[in-house]
Formats: sequence, C-alpha cells, structure tokens
Amino acid sequence: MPHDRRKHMIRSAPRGSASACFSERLVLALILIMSMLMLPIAARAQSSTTSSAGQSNSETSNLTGFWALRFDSENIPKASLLPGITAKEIEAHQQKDLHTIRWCQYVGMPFLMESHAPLDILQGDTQIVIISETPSAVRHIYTDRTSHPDMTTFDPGRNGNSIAHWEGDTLIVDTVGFNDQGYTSLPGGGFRTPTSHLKERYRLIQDGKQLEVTFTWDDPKVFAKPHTYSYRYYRVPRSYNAEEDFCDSNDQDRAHFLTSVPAPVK
Amino acid sequence: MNRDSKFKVSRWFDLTMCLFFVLTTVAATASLHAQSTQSSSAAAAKPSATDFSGFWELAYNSRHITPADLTAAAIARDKRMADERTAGRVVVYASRWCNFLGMPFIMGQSPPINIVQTNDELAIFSEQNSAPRHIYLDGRTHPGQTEFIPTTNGHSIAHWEGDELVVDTTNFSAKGHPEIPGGGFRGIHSHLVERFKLLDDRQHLQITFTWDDPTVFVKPHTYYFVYHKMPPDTYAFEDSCDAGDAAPYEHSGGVSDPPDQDISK
Repeated sequence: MPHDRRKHMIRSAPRGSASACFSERLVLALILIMSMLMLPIAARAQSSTTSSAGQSNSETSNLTGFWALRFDSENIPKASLLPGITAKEIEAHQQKDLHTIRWCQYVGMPFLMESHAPLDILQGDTQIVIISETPSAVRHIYTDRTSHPDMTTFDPGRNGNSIAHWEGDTLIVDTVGFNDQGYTSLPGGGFRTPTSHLKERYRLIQDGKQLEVTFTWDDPKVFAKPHTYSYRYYRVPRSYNAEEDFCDSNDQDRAHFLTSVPAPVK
Repeated sequence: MNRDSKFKVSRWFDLTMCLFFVLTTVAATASLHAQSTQSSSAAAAKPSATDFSGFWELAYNSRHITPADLTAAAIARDKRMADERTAGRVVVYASRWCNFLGMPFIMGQSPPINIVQTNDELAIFSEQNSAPRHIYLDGRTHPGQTEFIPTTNGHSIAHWEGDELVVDTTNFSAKGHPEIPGGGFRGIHSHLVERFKLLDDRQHLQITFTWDDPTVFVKPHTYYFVYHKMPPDTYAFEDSCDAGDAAPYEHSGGVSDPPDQDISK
C-alpha cells in the first residue's frame, strides 16, 4: 500500500460520523476493561500450568516441614484380601516383620510412614524426600521424571521407585519396584510384595496445619480389590531437631525383650 | 454541538482512552510481575543462590587427606585397633551389627551422596547404612546437651559466607563407624566445621572438613573431598544390611568370632 494512501486512511478515520465513532470507542473501552479483568485470571492460569508440570511454588503445595501422627490420625478400613491368602501366610509375614525389628534392618514402606517421631519432608526442585527416624532408607520421590526405570534392570527396594506429579494442589505419587524385605505388613491387612503398586495422594488441609495422605495399594497376588486408607499428619514446629533412632542388633537385653514371652503380672 | 466542539470532545475522549490504555498496561504488567515474584519467593528467600542439590560421587582422585596430628591417647587407641586387626578380629563393630555408621564415614564412600536443599534445611543421604544428615539453614543454634541425645551424625547448623556454606556440627556420639580419614576418631567431644563450595560451573562440589577434639587432635585436622556431579536422571539405591545373616561379617573379612562389644571406644 502506498505510504500516502495509508496516511490518508488514518487521518480520515476519525472524521466519520460522531455517533459511529462514539460506538467504536465504546467497544474499544469495553475490550480494554475486559482485558484488564482477564489478566489476573490469565496469570493464575499460568501459575497453575507451572504446578501441573510437576513443580509448584505456591504455599498451598509446599509439603516441606516436620509432620507427626496423633492418636486420631489414622483411618484404616479392613483390606479385602484374596481368598487364597491364608492365616499361615500372614503369620509368616508377621514373623519376618519381627526379624526386621530384631535385627535392626531397614523397615521400608509403608511402615516408615507410621513412625512415632515426626517425618521430615523436604520439597526440592527435582525430588521430594521423606525422612523417617525409624531405621529406613529415605524415600526419594522424583518430580522431574514421568516414568519409572526399566524394572527388568531396577534393583527392587523396600521403598520401591517413586515418581510424582501435581494435580492442582495435590501431589500424586506412584510407586513400583518393591521387594519383599523389611517390615512388609500393611495397615488394615495384607502385605507388600514385588508385585505391589502403591498410589498416594498428598494434600495440605486446615490452612496448611495438616497433611492428608491417602494410600491405595494394589497387588494381584494379595488384594481382591485395591486397599485404601488415609493418615492425617499434624505440622510440627519448624524448630524441631530430628533425632537418630540408633539400633544395635547385638544389644542382648533388647533382643531378649523382643523375642521372649512376657511373664504374667502376679 | 458544532463540528469543532465535537472534535474537542473526541480529542478528550481519545486522550482519556489513551491514558486508560497506558494505565491498564502498567497495572497488568505490575500484576504479572507481582505474581511472578510471589511464585518464586521461595527461591528468592534463599540467603544464597548456591544450590547443592543433586547426586555427587567421589572418584579415585577425589580424596585429599593429610595425616592428622594426634594426641598420645589417640595414638595408643589406634595402636590397639591395629593390634586387633593383626589378631584377625573385625574391628568395625558397627558394620558387623548393622549399626548406623554415621559421620564422617558416610561422606567418603564410593556410592554417591544425594543432597536435597530447601530454604530451611539441607539434607544429605548416603546409600550406606546410616541416618540422613540434617543441616539446618534457618538460623537456629545447637541444642543444649539435655535437649538432644548425641548421634552418629551430630547436630548440624549452617550459614552462608558468600557462595560457601559453612556447616558447624556438634553433639556427636562415639557410636557407629567413628574413624576419621587421616587418623583419629569421632567422639563426644568432637567438633566438625565443613565448607561446601561449588567449582567448575557447578560440576564439582568441594567439601573441606576440619575436625577438632582436644582428646584426639593436637591441632585441628583438615582434609577435603571433591565430588563429581552425576547425571540428572540418577536415582538412589537402597542399602540392605541384615546382622542376622553371617554374610556381612564374612564379607568384611572376619576370621574369628565376631566382636560382641564395640572395641573402637
């Protein structure tokens, strides 16, 4: 378009009829007002997108802190076990659990989440870690990856391999790669095995004073249907100093206490 | 209204709209900036931009250790341990009985250490049989002796000196694997100062350890390790130790009955 013609059009545009010009400006004003109203919504949407990508910086989804169970923290229904799970098999797992405690082995999932001492949760940029004072490896929950390692080469562990993503303010954790070592009995019945699959949902409630964790275990060799239970942890003051649950398997007095039958009180 | 009056009204309207548009744009930009600032406030609150998070591994040339200047009592203790070894006894009680190994053993082994850092705390995890290290960055002080039961990792607080993190640890126990590289051992009187520093565009982490203990060292004992950054898709393995199984003892070279008491003290 020739330059002169463009100048002419620009110059001539405001010279239309006054009412038409006013209507156009009214529309323009409305568009501007709508834009101003929409911008904060757009900004919030942008923030949500960041959260759903696996990282969240907002206060409502920062799980960092010390968290403790209380007397009213557990909601554990009875698990529906497969008919083939016998009392003898359950007893064998309980004996193995006792062996784990007696010999100071790492307890693993889910026992470490039931620690009497506060859990320390640290939310880093690429992983969230859960530290229990009960003898156990730390739980590493990776938020920077969307798939588990190749299970044909993965060395299974008591805590398995955990990956997670955010759905709004809820952290969804997916864990596979378990072994059958450590303390394997599950709250409500059943036990952890190499074929176990755990899904967890972490959500801050009560204005961040509590952390609700819902566990759903699935295992084609153990459960008739997925077994779900829930804990509510209470936030402990940040000034808490984590302690160390030192365990000596050669402590004979401790070993005797754990393995003997207590004498009745006379 | 004549044509000139209409034109003046029109000009005023244009100016108003123009001002409105500018204010809207400024407000919107400020709103977005505030949102951005708020969402990154956690990172901004860090006293330093240095983030040590990641998996770090020692290599064959990572350990820079000089001999410690030991007290007579510490020399006598080391000789006693050497005699036990010569007699064929496994002297590391903690390894035999799956005790937590603790500091400084966990910082000097071949499996990588994993560091996770938040605003208030830096935690270090070892794949050895050990409790994690909790290093508090929130300005707290060490607890008194009646408030904290001594541990194999002690109680650690830290502060920033530029991009270096200076970690101060006390409240140690003598349990676990107390041997210190270069000589000497950790005990209830030990005091450890560490300096964490990133090198080579964050590809290396240097930690300088300085141990002090009047019952063990004639003067503070310093050495340093240089860790190599591992790939971002690295994941942690899990240690497994069963003291009810004879394997750990046999694996550690035991040729006589395992020790039934900790002879390292």
